[in-house]
This record gives sequence, structure tokens and C-alpha cells, in this order.
Amino acid sequence: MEQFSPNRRQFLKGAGVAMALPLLESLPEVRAAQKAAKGSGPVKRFVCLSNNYGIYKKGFFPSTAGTDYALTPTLKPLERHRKEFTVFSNLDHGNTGGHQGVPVLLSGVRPHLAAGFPEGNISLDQKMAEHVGAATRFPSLTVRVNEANLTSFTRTGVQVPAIDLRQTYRALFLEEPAAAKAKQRQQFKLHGSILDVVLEQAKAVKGQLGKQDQHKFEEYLDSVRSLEKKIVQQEPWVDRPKPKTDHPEPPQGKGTAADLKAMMELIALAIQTDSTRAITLSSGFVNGDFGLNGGYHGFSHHGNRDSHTSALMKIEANMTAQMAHLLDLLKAQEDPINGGTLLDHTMVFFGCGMATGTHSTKNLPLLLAGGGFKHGESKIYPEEDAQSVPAANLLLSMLQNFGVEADRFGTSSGTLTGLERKA
Amino acid sequence: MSLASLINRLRTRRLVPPFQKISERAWLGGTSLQVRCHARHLGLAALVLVFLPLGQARADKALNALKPFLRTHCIECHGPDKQKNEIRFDTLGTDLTDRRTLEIWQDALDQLNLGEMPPKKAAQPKRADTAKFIDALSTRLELAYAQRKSTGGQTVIRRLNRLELRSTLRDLLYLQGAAYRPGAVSGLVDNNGNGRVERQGNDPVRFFPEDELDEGFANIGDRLVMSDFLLKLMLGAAEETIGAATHPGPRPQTQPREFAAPFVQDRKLGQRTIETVAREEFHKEVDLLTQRYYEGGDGRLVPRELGGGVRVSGRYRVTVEVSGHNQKHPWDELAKTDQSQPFKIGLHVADARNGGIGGPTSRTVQVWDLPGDGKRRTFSAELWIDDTWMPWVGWENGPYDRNFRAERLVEKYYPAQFKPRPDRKAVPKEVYDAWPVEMARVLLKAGYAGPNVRVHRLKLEPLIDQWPPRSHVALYGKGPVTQANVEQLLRTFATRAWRRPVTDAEVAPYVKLVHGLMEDPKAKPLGAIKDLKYRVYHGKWTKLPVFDELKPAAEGALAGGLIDIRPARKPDYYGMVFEGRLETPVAGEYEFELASDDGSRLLVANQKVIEHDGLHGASTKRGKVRLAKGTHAIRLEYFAYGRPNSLRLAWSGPGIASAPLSVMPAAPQPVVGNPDEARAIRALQAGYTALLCSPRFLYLRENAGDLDAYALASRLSYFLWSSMPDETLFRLAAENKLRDPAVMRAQVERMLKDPKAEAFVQNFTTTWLRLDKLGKMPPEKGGPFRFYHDRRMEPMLSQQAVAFFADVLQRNERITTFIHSDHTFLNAQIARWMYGRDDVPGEGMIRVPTHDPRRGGILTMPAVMTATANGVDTSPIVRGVWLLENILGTPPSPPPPDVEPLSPDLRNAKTIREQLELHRKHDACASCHRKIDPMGFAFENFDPVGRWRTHYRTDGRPQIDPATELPNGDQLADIVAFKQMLLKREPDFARCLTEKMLIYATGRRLEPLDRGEVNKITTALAQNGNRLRDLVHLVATSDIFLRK
Repeated sequence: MEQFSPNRRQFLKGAGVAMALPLLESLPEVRAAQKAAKGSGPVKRFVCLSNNYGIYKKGFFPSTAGTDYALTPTLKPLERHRKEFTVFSNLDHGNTGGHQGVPVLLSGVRPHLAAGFPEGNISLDQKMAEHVGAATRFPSLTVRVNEANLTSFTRTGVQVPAIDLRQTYRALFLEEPAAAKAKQRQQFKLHGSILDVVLEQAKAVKGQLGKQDQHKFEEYLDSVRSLEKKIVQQEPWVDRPKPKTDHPEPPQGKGTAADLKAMMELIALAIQTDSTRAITLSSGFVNGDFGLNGGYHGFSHHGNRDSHTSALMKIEANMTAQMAHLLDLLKAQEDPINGGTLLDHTMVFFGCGMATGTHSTKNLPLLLAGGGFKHGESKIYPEEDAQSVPAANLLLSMLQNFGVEADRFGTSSGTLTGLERKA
Repeated sequence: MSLASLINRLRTRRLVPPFQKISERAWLGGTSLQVRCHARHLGLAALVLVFLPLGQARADKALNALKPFLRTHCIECHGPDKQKNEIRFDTLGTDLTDRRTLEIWQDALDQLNLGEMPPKKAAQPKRADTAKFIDALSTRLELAYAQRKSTGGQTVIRRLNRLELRSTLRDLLYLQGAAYRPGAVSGLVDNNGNGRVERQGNDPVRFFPEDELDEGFANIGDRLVMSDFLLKLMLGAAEETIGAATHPGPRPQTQPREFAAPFVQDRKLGQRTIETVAREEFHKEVDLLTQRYYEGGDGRLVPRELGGGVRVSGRYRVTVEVSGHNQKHPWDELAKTDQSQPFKIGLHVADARNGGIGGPTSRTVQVWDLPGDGKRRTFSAELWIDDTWMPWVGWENGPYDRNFRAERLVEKYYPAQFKPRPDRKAVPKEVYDAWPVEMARVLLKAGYAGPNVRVHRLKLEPLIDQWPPRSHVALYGKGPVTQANVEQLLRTFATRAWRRPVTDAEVAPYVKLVHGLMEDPKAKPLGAIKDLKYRVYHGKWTKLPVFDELKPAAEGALAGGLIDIRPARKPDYYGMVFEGRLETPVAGEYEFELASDDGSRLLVANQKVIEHDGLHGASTKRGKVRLAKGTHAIRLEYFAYGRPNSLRLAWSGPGIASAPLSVMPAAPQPVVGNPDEARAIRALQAGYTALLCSPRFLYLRENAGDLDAYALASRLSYFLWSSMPDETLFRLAAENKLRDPAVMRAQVERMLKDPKAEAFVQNFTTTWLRLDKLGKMPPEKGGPFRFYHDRRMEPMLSQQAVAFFADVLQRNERITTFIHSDHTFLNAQIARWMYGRDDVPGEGMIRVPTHDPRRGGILTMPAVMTATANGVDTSPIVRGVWLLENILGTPPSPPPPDVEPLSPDLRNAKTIREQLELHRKHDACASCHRKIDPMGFAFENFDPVGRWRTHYRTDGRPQIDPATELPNGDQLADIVAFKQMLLKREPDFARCLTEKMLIYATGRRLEPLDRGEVNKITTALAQNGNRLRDLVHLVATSDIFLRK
């Protein structure tokens, strides 16, 4: 039986408002997705909730493994969902370097080492976005709340810029004026012909280059081809109507808790409307909230001082509380494509490529909810060197669950043992 | 940035793929061609460099010498009998170009470093033997990594980085404005520290992600990547800048605007009491300046109307009329000036969007001498001003003292009329607050005998020396664009854009593209309004009146066919009616978009299309109407209530893109006039966009061996200007003269004197000093360093270091000036907040003496100290590594894998020094950290933003001990002694700086084989005392620079 917290009703009430959408089955893109889903298994989604300063370890990691573990203060807000998530101990990317671990979360690969990997340091969401292609309006969404988002990288190692609350809402729901659409169509066409000319020329240039230069120059040729492809993918979306919603545009800048909550609701809406299937979010802290004076970074160098660790736990418990809100929303909503609930087919991944305090990149705070996995456990992996398990194995498991056929991702050595899908 | 170091026994694991380890080590290795082994064993490294040329794969003596150790201690488990972990040493090869072999050797080294092997239960090797083995193997492996990363001593084809791209677009398209100023920081400004960057303005690369860095260098060919994302941004930037360069319309009106004093009417600007009281009660026709400006908005004058900027970007002549009074005066004690000198009046500009006149963008344009004899004089300057920028006037050498106040002056010079300030508690607040004003009144009534400047008038004249402007002519020539001249136009442009002569075949596809688009009827754009006439009405309405019953106050025609409310010549309370004819190319549904503040109504073909009446902000409404092909009447009614007011209209047709029907000041100039001409221009723009997305534009391509004349011209140009060659360089390339050392010397001198050289000064300084780290981990908004944000210190910090570098370069001073100097550069803010000095005025960096040996030079500047801290605390390790890498050129080895960061447990107030001492007790750490840590302790007196401190802020406030002992036993008491030690190592510093500049100039890492050429440069450099400008010349004429 699920834990039923007194707050749940309130949350669901909120969820009802947030989900006031028209019948989505009527939207052509959803119909198309349903059709496609019949052939190739269920449609899966991925949401990553992250921050840039880690999670205070003592407030996060359960001390025991198994299903009966005691919830730690930072996990407490997720109590009503405890059957729906798994918390992992002793997974990491085997890197060092504190803050440099942050952009590594979704790849396991430090940006400057990307050249040594067949797919560079592409992040999980971007890999998934490539798989989704033209099936959704946005192959991926990279969003941020009161913080920069450093988690999302393309296969050439370029960081994907993030958009804020307001931009997210507008991207999802605000219809462009007809004139802008016409212009966009025209521009797509024009860019297509420009790229044709450029590509033709580039091939001639390549012939004049030395071997070493030729190798580097491949990047350029790939870029042209890939941009042409993206234009082809995006073009049809110009004329397809965006989903309509009664959900009003959320005000921005209302503080740590309100902004993050509003973003969670937009994420739920984006998934429900099948606007995208891969979302990454980084959130931060606004000085003054929760009665705290200071910055997240300053608190994260806590040096075990109580004033700092308690501040961290307040900030981070809000993150898990807002995650719980997202899970409420996803749980309450029927999946218009797959049936079941949205949560059944949405992996909600929470974590950071760095822990706080020591800025260690060992034993990353990681947690996974939903997505059709068996949950409800604290999984503690071996700490010893020889048996240690790369966190990228979890990334690979999620990638496979997403429907991508791959046997390797970033620094993975296989899928994550012990993490099983529901029958 | 965390404290990377070893402290405990560490976990190792095999999940890191082999290549990662390799490249990680190589990457962390530093740019020095001495590679890291130098830090370990100078002598040995040099030997190895001599005897092991690159690419060698023979049996390796150094490795073979290590095999006995392996045979003794390891072979039992990793040999013929057992192969634990599938590793055996008896068959291990020595060819380190083989990845697997290299990996096993590296693993052996790691295991020993970590003390994991041999296992505890097995017999242990002698510590001395292990140490010897580790040293020898590390040295050999470093070399292998360097080889692996080698580009064979060649520059790999390199993409223009975003700063190079921006300045190239500027020079190619003849664009102007603050965003293009050399050294301008790209538009991404995180003003509030929460990652919410601002991307306004016209900087064409404001959306570009940061370029890939290689040891801080943003121009290393094999490191910079291209992606579809970047290419898409490039398309956008090309379209935007080409649009900004296009001016097809008629010559705009250029009416001067004149502002009579007083500029300041409501105490918003220039809040000094004496000046305010004078302006309001005594000298109503002038603005009085009694003091020099200091920080914030005080003592600066800008006409109130220009407070939001000049509104239209362009070249202006700014004329000010001023008079100086009482150059000789009796108040010297409280109003200290140099009475023998004329007054100096400065004209400055600042961006209203970014802090305004007291903000960080304020910079001086010109300073004039004004004799203080009471006579009026006028001064003018011509300059480009962007729309949101404004000119302001200040007194450069006026008295400044915080005690310079009316009450003090009265007390001293008119004691009879002085009365003391009332007791705050005894009187009402108004009375208490009114006292300084009262004293100012007394002072002005009694006769102001102190020096002062009176500003009477400021005139702003837009200047158009040529129309169409040069940027337009460069793209479209002087006549109309036709099928016939497209090829010539594209060819001329391509020659400059691609930075070398082009062939017919290379341009042909672009010509074809443009011709195709010119013929495409669907590309035909919608035109503007024909016979557009306007009528202006004066009145205060809250909804649209029946205009036709009113008498117009003015009427006229708008030749451009675009609706414009400026002819109303009134900021508010007026109405306008526009009438004209629209031409529709095809029948179908047309959509109109109308944004107005306040009410408006649109009628097309006598039908009401949009009703937008009433009082409101600039909200948008749309309306559709079916129109036949042909001509239709259009009428737009509009009224303006209180400010602000605006009116915008656009239309789009069936399958036809939107076109503006009103002027849009911020947007690129719309194409108007003859529709065929407009189509031709659009088609040509697409051709230019394609040229700019071509790899010939985006990449610097260089031929193998000696660079050809054009490749050399570009290399030189991107070295010193971060931009394309100018006409002179192209001419010298055509004549193939740049290889002549005398010609090169003259060119380097010429180029360094050009304002564009600011790009070199800025980019090289930030690269060399790793100021890219500034802002990555800034101090927090709250907390002890809040002034850093509140005062927007960050951009100033780099400016300070850059100004210092520029000065050393300009005077060709010795490079030791960077270590120690009796002067520094400061502005008011840095002086006050970082140095605790009150004697420096203004935002500009000024050369000032410093008699504080802790503060001279560049090393202890706040920029460096902040970049080497993490915004929260400091670490001798980070600063020590910084010094070894960037000053001494002996980067330490990277930490072994799996190192946990060192993190202070602050509850017990252990100082970082105690922790590091503990840490160095570990053998594996000590070998490097005994070299690193001493280089950092001396900097501990500088806090995370570079202020001097004597105690840590942590519990118990432990005192800082900056004393240090070098590996050679030298004892250094503090930063002053430390700098003395550095001065003795001048040759090391000279070599390091030479290497850094070579890398910057060529866009490649240096390699062991470059050693000879570097030695040649440093020898020549030393002959004239290691001077900075000499170094630039030596680099530009070196073999490394002249070859790919």
C-alpha cells in the first residue's frame, strides 16, 4: 500500500488545475505517436533534475540497503512515493575534480576527454533526443531555475543552452504569429539552399587539405549535414498547432520554492502533451529564501559547520519536495500514448555529478523514479575498488529503457545490475 | 575549483577507459614544451628530449632499465605463472605508441603511486627503489603523452573563435558600435550571479557558447570544434550583421539636437548639494561643477533627455560649451587643485542599459584643457554612439575630497555665518536634513570663491559623411544590384571574406544561388506604403477622436513608405493619421499586426481590420483581410497619451513573409523601394550569408611548411588584431613582402599602434593569466564579498590587469615589471574596495604610483587572486600551480587518478597550512607538493577576491602565516620576499612568457622540437633586458610563427 500523506489531496488538487488540458488524443502529433508506439514498444520519457553544487551526503544517503531503509531528511519529502523510486549509493563516474564533475553527470565523460570516446561527451538527454528526432516538437528541453544548467552536451561537446521558466512556457504553448511562421518557413527553405551550396564547396576545400586538417575538417562536414537534417525535421512542426492549455503563464522570480514548483508543472505538461521526451533541469537557490542568508555555493563548502549543513538540507529538501510534486502530477495523469500513468513511462532522475562539502566526485547522490523499473529500494553498491560500479551503467540502463539499442554509453561497463524493469 | 590533492589511501578502479587516462594526463600537462617531467627532473628531461625524437618506437632504454624492478616485485602474480587481472610484465613491450602497452605501464605507475601494489602481504620493495622507479617511469610516460598529443609541430586548421569572428565581421562589413570595440567582453553578462545571462544588444556572437579552451587558449586548432548548433548560430549572425550593414533607404534626416543647461532638473543626476542648490537657486542657466566626479553618478552631467541613450546609433559630433572659473582661488585648503594648470574637461560615454553614467561601461572619449578665466569655450568630438549610450561631461582635475562640503567651507571661510548642525534628536528630521542645503545657500550667497566649471550647452549632431554608408557600398556597390553585377560583387566580397584571392570556380555556386533567388517569384517581398502621407493633431484624448473634424497641426509625406511617429515632434498628447496605398502581389488573405501605445485603428480597402482603441501599453493586435491583387487604400489612426508612446505595423500575405510598414529603430533597415531591387538585395544577402558560412571564411587554413603570403598575413592579423588583415596587409601579401624581417617589423609596429591591437592586449592577457576563470566561481551575492557583486567589480578586475599589460607593452618595459613595479593601475572602485585607497577618481584605469611592494606587478592583482580562488576560500595549491604553470613555466604533474579533494573541516579551525603539512607527509603527494605548496603560501594574505588580510575568517580567526620554504631550502617570509625570489628567476619567466605568446600567435601547442627556436628567441630577448614589445617582434619573425 502506498503511504498516504495528508498533503496528498492538496497536491492532487493542484495537479488537477495544472492538468486542465483539452483531450489530447485529438492532437495529431499524439495520434501519430500512438500509431508509432504500436510498432516499437512504449514511448518513454526522461527527466533529469539536477543542481550545480551537489547534495549534502549525510542528509541524503540511507545507511542501509533494501526496502526497509529509513528515509533521510532529504529523502523525506519523497516518502509518499517511496515505492516509486530507488536511491543508489556508491555509484560515480570515477573522476576527480570537484566542480568539474557537474557537467559529467549525464555522460560520465569529462569534456576535455571527450575525444577519447566514440560519442564524445554527449549527455544522456541529447543521445535520447537524437533517437526521438522529429517525433516531438522539441527533441529535448534544457531548462533552468535560478541557476545555469551545465548538464546537457551535444556529441561534439557543445553545451546546450538552457531556457528559463518564461521561455519554457512560451516555447511550449505560445503560438507564433502567422507572419513569424511564414518567415520561419521561408528561412528554413533559404537555409536549406545555402547549406547545399556550402556543403558542395566544403567538399572541394577538403581535397586541398593535409591529412591532419582533413581529419579535423570532418567536423565541419558533419555539422552541415546534421544541420540540414535538423531543418528537415523541424520544418513540419512550424505548421502544426501547439497544444492549448488553461494553465496560465507562471510568474518568474517568485523565489526558490515557487519557481521550481512552477517549472515542475511545466515539465509535467510538456510530457503530457508529448512536446518533448527528454528534459534536463538545473535549479539553484535565491538568497534570502527559507530564512537563509548566503549562496548555495558558499553553503556547499560547509566544512561540517551546522549552520551550513542545515542550510543545505533546507535547499535540497525543497528540491526533493518539488520532485515529489512532479511525481504526483505524473502519477495522477493517464498516459495518452501508452496507457497507464505518465510516471509508468517517465524516468525521473535526480542527482548531481558532485557531492557537497568535500566537493568530492565519489559516491554521487543519485536517485531514480518511475519509468517502468522496479523501485522501492535503497541499493548500496560495493565501495571496494575492484567491484565498484560505474554510474554510467545506470545511464546505459536508462538509455536502453528509453528504447535505444546500445550496449555502451560513455564510461559504462554494462547495464546496472540489480535494476530491473517491471514485468 | 576544488583542492585537488591526495590525502588518503585511494580507491582505484578500471572503469576509466584507457584513453581517458592518457588524455587526462596529457591535458593536464600544461603548455610548456618542457612538458611536466621538467618539474620532476630538469636534467633528465632534457636528456630524454635529446635522445628520444618524436615518434620513436624502438626498444626503449629507459623502460628496459625499469624491468628488473618489475621482475623482482611483480612477476610472481603478473608473469608466466599467474596473470592476475590479465596483466603480465614478462612479455610487456616498450613501444609506448601502442595504446595497450602504454596503459599497462601507466597502471603500474598508478598502483605504485597509490601504494596498492605489491599487496601488503607480499615482500615490499625498498622505498628508495620505488621512488626511483616512479620518477623514471613518470618522466618516460610524460614524454609518451606529449607525443600522443602531438600535432607534429603544426597548427591544425582552426575555426575562428567567437571573438575573432566578431571582429572579423566588424572589419569585413564596416560595422561600428560598442559591441565591436576590440576587447569588448561578449554580450553574455551574468549581472546577478544566478546564471541568468543577458543577451541583449547587437553583439553578433551573444548567443555563441564559449569556445573550447586548451590550457586557457581559445584558439588552438585541434581543440576548437564545429557543430550544427554553432553553424546555425553562424547563419543567424551572418544574416544579422549583413542586415545591419545594409542601408538601402534614402539618406536619413540629420537634425542636430541641442540641450541648454541646466541638464539636471530633478536632482536625479549630480546630487551634490552645492551643485544642486546653485542650479536651482543661483545659476539657473548653467550646471555648476565644483568637484571632480568620483564614483557613482556624482559630478557627472548628461542632459536629462539623453538619460536613456541617444536613441539612434550612429556617428555624432558632440559639442559642449563650458566656462572655467577661479582657477586661482583662496580656498586651496579645502578645495585642493593645481592652480597652475588649466581645468580639464572630459567627454565620456556610457551605456544606459548597463549602469548608466556611473556604471562599468563608462569610458573617456576625450579630455580638453579649459583655462579657468571665466570665458566660455566650446569643444567638440566626433564619435560613434550606440542607441542606448549617452555622452556625459565631467571635470577631470577638480578638487576631490570627501570633506569637500558646503558646511566645511562656510565654517572655514565664512565663520560668522556658520551655524552648527542641529542635534538630530532635538529637531524634526526635515530641519536636520535641511542643514547642508542651508549651508550651501549661505556659501553661494556669500560668493563662491572656489574653482568651478559651468556647463552651458551640449549639442548632438548626427554625422553622415557618406550615403549610402561604406558598409552598404561594400556589399551592393553604388548602383542598383542586377543579374549582371552579382558576380563581381560576390567576388570582391569573397576575396576579403576568405582572406585570399578567389577563383571563378570557387565563387560560381554562390553566383548561381543568388541568380536563382533573384528569379524566384515567391521570394518577392511585400512592399511598403506608396504615397504615404501623415497629419498631426495636438490634443489630449483617451480614445480616438474623429480626426477628420479636427484641424491638423502639421502634415507631410513619408518618402520611405514607413509609418513613423517622429514627425509629430512631440513626446506626448498628440494624434496622427497616416494614409497611403498598399500594393498586393497576389490575391488572398493578408494579415496585419499592429502594436500601439496608445490607441489606434487600421483600415484597409476602407474596411476596419484592427480596432485597437483606448489607453494601453504597446500591446499587439492582429487582423486579417482578403484582398485582390492590386492597389488598396490604407489608413491608420493613432493617438499618443502620456509617455512612452510607440506605433508599429507589419503585414504578411499568403505564403509571403512579414514586412514592416513602420520604422523600427532597433531592427535592421528594411528593404524598401523598387521591389525588384529589394528582391535582388535579399538574394544577394543570401549569397553573402552562404559565403560567411563557408569553411573558407570560418576557418584559418594554412599550407604545410612555410606559410604562403596570404596565410601569413592572416596569421599576423589574427595574432595582433584577432581579426582579418586590412588593405595594407593584403597588399603586402599580394607583393609577398611579409617574409622580409624589416617589413614585418614595421607592420608589427603599425599594427600595435592601431586601436585594433586592444584585442591582442585583452585576449593575450586574459589567456596568459587564466582570467577565463573569473566569473566561473564568483563570490556569492550574499555573504562577505557582496560588494563584489554590488559594485560589479568583476569586469574591472580584468580591465586592471589588461591596462597594466597594455602599459608595459606600450613602453616596452622589462617583463619583470609584471612581478614587481612601483606603479599600478587603478580606478576609484578598485582603489577603494580592494586597495583601501581614496585617491583615485573615475572608472577608467589610471597609472598611479604604489609604494606598497605587496601590490606592485600583476601577480597580486585582484583579478589573479580571484581567478585562483573559488569565491569561498583560497588554496595555496591552486595558486601555487597557477604560478608554476603561468609564470615559471614548470607545471607540476597532475594529481594521480582518484584523488579526493582536500576539504577543510572548519569546525576545528584547522588552517589550510596544517592540512597541507599533513598531506605532504604522504610520499606520493610530497614529491609534487613540496614544489607546489611553497609557491602558494605567500599568496595566502590575499583573500578570495584579492584584498589584503591578516587573518582567516573561519572560527577562531587564525592568523595567516605566509612564510614559505622552497625545496632548495630558501626561506621566504612573505609575498615581498617571494617576489624577490621570482625576480631572480627571470630567465624562467621569460621562457614561460615566450612560450605562451608563441602558442597564442600560432594556435598550436608547442612541442619538444620547438625548443631550439624558443631558445633562440629567449636569447635574443635577454640581450635587450627581456622587454615585452621586443618579444612580440621576436615571436612574429620566428620560424615557428612563419611555418604552419
